[in-house]
Order: sequence, then C-alpha cells, then structure tokens
Amino acid sequence: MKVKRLVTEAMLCALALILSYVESLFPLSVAVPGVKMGLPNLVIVFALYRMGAGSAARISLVRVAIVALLFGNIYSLFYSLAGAALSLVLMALLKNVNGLHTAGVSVAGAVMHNIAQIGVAMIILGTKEIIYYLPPLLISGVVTGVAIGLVAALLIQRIPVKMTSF
Amino acid sequence: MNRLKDYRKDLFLILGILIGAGLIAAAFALAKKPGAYVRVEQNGKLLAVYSLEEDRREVFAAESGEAEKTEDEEAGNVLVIENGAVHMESASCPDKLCVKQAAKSKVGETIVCLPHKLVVTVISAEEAEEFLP
Repeated sequence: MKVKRLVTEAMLCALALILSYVESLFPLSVAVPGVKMGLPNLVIVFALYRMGAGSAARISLVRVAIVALLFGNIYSLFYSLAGAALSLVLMALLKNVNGLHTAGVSVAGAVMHNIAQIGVAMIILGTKEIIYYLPPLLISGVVTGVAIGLVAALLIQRIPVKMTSF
Repeated sequence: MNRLKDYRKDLFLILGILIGAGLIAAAFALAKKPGAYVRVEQNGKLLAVYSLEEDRREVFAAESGEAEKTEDEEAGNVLVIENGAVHMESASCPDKLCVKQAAKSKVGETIVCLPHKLVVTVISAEEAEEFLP
C-alpha cells in the first residue's frame, strides 16, 4: 500500500472519530434509542466514492474499534461492527447502480445500519419486542441519510482530486 | 445543480423504505393482542402483578432503588387500572412523561417512569401465570 493512501486513510479515520464524538455530544433522543445523525458516514461515503470500498472498509473498521475502546464496551462493539459492516457492504454494492446518487446510497447505508443494530439487539437481549423500534428508526435513517448524502456529494465534488490520487 | 428528475432512482429507494416502514408499523398495530395483566417493576425488581379486569389504584414510592409501596400519593407514582386499561394518574417526578402517556391495554405496551426506574408492562394471561399463586 502506498504511504500516501495509508496516511490519507488515517487522516480520514481521525476525522470520522471526531465526528463520532461530536455526534455523541448532541444526542437526538426522540424517545427511540438509536436515533442519530450518522455524521461519520459522511467520511465513509466520501472514501467509498473517491478511494474505493477497500479504503472505506479500513477506515470504518478502525473507527469502530477505536470508538469502542474509548467510549464503549464489548456490546457496543458488536452493535457498531454489525451496523458498520453491513451498511458498508450495501453501500458498496449500490454505488455501482446507475442513476443512484450519494443521497440514495447514504440512505440505504443508514437504514441498513439501523436494521443491523436492531438485529444484534434482538440477539443479545433475546427479545423480539425491540423490533417495534424499527419503523421510527427507518424514517429517521431516511432523513439523516439524505442530509449526509447531499453533503457528501458536495465534498466528493469539491475536495481536490490531488488529495485522493495515489 | 442537478435536476430532481436525475434523482428518480434515489427517490424510489427512499419511497420504498418509507412504505416498508409504514407496512411494518401497520402490521405491529394489527398484531397487538389485548392484555390480561399488568406487571410493575422497579429497578428491574418485580413489585406486583395486577389483573386488568379489576379496577384499582396503587401508589408506588419514588425512593430510587427502594422497591416499595406507600400510602402517600404525593411521594410517588399513582397507578390506576380502570375499564380494562392501565394509566399513571400522577407522579412526583419533574417531567411527568409517564402521566402524559395514554392508557395501555395491549400485550407488550409499557409505561415507563425513567426518573423512578418504574416500568409498567401489559402482559398476557400466560406470561402472568408464573407470578400468580
């Protein structure tokens, strides 16, 4: 791996970490746990489009691991890992669909993240009732996903190509 | 700036997700069964199980961590069962979110008083069996 790619990935990972922290400062607790802005996804979508799925996956994985070490525990690691991995796989697949923009891709990622976390919660807590949270989470995922996707589109357009040419 | 028409597929995807969310929510609403009993827990400790069929009025102390009943209605949560449904009539906590909730009667519905760690859940007759003598 080229040093420049490594350094860029590390930098974006640090950025995603900061965004995770910023996000935790403004909890959007609308009576449903798990509703959040998804700011780190901004970095992931950018990396996916400009640096490819491999880079996005490395950034996401390292971010999840560090967030769990700093702010979380072993359970939150499972939640984040499932959410991050499944949402990235789906976004990487949808990215190749013609006519789909970052807005749609980011919405799909956000929604997949929520579905994965509900799934893990059902397994860990052993109750099906948590699935009641899914509809409001899907709706909040659409709203935040569109916002993140539109901002990501601007970043992908505006940030100099030089930064991500390896 | 791109035209909205270019975003057709994105809009379809979003619409699909919203319709899916609506369908799931509708399915949940239809699948709810009427409950038979009410389970009261504080701090994860079982306090009481009451039948929804008898009207009653119970007061639970607000003491955090101390799961107990009291007579002083000012000091805790007043739980009322009437007409086959349960609601919280008053609470000594500042936010009173539990009091604002509608009366509950379907299996799985809950009233939560977060400051007092009090959780009221409507359960079915089968679920209640293990708590009853």
